[in-house]
Amino acid sequence: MKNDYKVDRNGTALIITLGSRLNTTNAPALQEELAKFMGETIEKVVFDASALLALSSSGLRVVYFAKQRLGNNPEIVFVNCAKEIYHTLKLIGLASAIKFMKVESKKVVRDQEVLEEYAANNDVVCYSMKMGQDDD
Amino acid sequence: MTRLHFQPIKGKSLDILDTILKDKEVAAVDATWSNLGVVVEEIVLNIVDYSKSDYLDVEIMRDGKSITLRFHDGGVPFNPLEKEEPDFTVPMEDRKIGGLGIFIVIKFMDAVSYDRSGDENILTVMKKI
Repeated sequence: MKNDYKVDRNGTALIITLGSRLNTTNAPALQEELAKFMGETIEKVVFDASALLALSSSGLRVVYFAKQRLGNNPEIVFVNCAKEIYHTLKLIGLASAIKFMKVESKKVVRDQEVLEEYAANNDVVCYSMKMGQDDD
Repeated sequence: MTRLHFQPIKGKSLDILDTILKDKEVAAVDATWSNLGVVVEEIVLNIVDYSKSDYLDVEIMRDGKSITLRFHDGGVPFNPLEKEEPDFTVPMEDRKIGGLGIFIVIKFMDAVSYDRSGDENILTVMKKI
């Protein structure tokens, strides 16, 4: 993935597949990419964080941008979020505003069927509580 | 101990970050704890973007129990420990974005200290490993 991310649109959902880092090296470019969807109907923004290891404030700005500037207060979803990333999101008070989902196989995350599942309003498995158990 | 010297020129942030993260001690810790790279990024960007310093020196010290990085710059006095924490009680959709980087540094590291010595800001961060 150039810039270590990929953006797909499925109906009113944006699916952003992240690489190992979302930081100053790639976050501004991702934000620019997302800005193209401003003014459009976006109901859900899904960050596939299966490979994500580090999230800096530059990356967090992209998450804020998605919430504040896309659609009309879209739902923000993190898929397969590592414990350290969850800890960062919790640290800055975002964990309660984000839905966390777990998809068992990284491979299926990229399948069209799963992308459609993200796009739908159905809840899959919300595991934010489980992830939070080991924190603090 | 390693000491690296940079000119904190805007547009060169990524080169500075890359050099620090390639230091063998930093790279060894970052390989298992990626947040070290995040901390370095937050501090370097802050100095490059706001300090107006004409130099940035970074000392890197590692022993068996911890890694310590000390950042020296000759810019405007800035004590990050005195910066007000972001207001996290505001809903995400209404929240102002700012001050996250310094907050992350303080929360991620085990010790953060600031000194103003002469015309120099000295920020020291330590993480137990």
